Amino acid sequence: MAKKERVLGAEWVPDTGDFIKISPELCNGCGECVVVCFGDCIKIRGGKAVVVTYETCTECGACWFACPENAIEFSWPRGGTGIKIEYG
Amino acid sequence: MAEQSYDVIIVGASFGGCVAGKVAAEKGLKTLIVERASVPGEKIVSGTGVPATVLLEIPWIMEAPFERPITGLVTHFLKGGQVQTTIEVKCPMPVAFGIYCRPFVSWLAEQATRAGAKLMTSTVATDVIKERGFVRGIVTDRGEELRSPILIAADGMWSLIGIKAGVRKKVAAEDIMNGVWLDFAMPSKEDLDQALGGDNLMMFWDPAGEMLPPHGIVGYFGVFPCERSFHFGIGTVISHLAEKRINYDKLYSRFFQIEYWKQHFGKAELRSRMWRPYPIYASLDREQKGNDRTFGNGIMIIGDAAGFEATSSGAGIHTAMSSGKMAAEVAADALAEGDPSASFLKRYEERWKSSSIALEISNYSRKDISRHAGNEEQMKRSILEVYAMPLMTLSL
Repeated sequence: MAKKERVLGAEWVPDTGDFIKISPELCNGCGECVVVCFGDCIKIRGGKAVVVTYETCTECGACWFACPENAIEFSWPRGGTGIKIEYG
Repeated sequence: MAEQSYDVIIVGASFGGCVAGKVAAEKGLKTLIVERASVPGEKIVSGTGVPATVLLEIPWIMEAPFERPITGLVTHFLKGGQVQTTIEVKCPMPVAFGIYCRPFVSWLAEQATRAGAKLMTSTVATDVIKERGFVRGIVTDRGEELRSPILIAADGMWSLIGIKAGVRKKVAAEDIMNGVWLDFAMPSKEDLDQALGGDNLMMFWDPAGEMLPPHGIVGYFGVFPCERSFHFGIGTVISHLAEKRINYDKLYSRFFQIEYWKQHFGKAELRSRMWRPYPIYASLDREQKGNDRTFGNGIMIIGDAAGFEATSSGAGIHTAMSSGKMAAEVAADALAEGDPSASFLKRYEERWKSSSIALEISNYSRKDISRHAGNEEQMKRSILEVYAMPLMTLSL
């Protein structure tokens, strides 16, 4: 699916800061965060999960909930940035 | 520089936070609502609507921007890729109202500010201030320290403030649904009226288990109507999603081949694809539910942040608004007594435990449906008992 089709009907305001932090020490590369992310924001690179984009992130926290190793630290994008949902 | 000191600070200007803000301000409290979005409601995705039960407790929401009253429920049962049976239940008055979160919640926030609450948007509460075992306020993403003897955490199911305050734990992946929601627009209101057969919610169940993940960890395909548009979707528990690698887009494209859909909703135009998790406690046997406290020294937790969801339906708007009102009332009493300690704020938890919130969150009927897996007839009966009849008699 093309990037622009993953999140439809929403705007994205940049300058969010890194609000999803994945610890390479704690990550075991299982990929559960990759599976549960509907925005395809996370990839496994070199055996570790890394956030590759925030542009299709709806700030749902599914990665944080799903991680069996507690390797993900989840917070919010800087105030007023990130996803703006029109028809939520 | 913003003023630094308040009677009560509420984190989150959504369904619960705005009601808490309005009630607190009306009680004469110097009230601040902190919201991370630039416009209240623009971060929220909700499938459903506002149950009419809310009007009993919060009558002033009658004036809110409702999209469509819902007076009926059409339940379809799928078999072999088609609608096999349809059962319609009607009520002579609305049981819920379809809404969009951004206009509805913006309106709610306006009611809070009109009552005298201050609303600070585009502001993230990144941490709580704790002193001598008491929560004393928040730290914002601009590094400001905003202080109040009482904090009301209304920050949604992530409950980051409750976790920072040491009152709650992260919800387990077995207890959260996440699904892709789609928003469709019909050419006109009349087209949608015709497709739905009136002001109806519409559910597509799969009692034979041919299309959807098993009941208990998933709901149904649901059409949640607004004036001339609707939300459509299903959700699955995150742990199941991770294990089974469910592809919603494939699931949806299969569903959209159903003849019934093509005939009734063929004119619908896709406007939005989005997702947002919600607590569902589908695993049900977990001990966490109801055991995490909803108060502490200087803090009360409301709505989704407190884990208030109606397990059988997945609804949380009523519980959020109702708990927001209770927390604001207890905050006013606590401040009048000069006692924001946990021993006083415990009254909040006692109140919601003796209210309809306790009934809603302890309704485990979703589990009853999953017990009938493999027995289609029993499952159909169970679905009607659990969803259709309770919905139409206002008891969800």
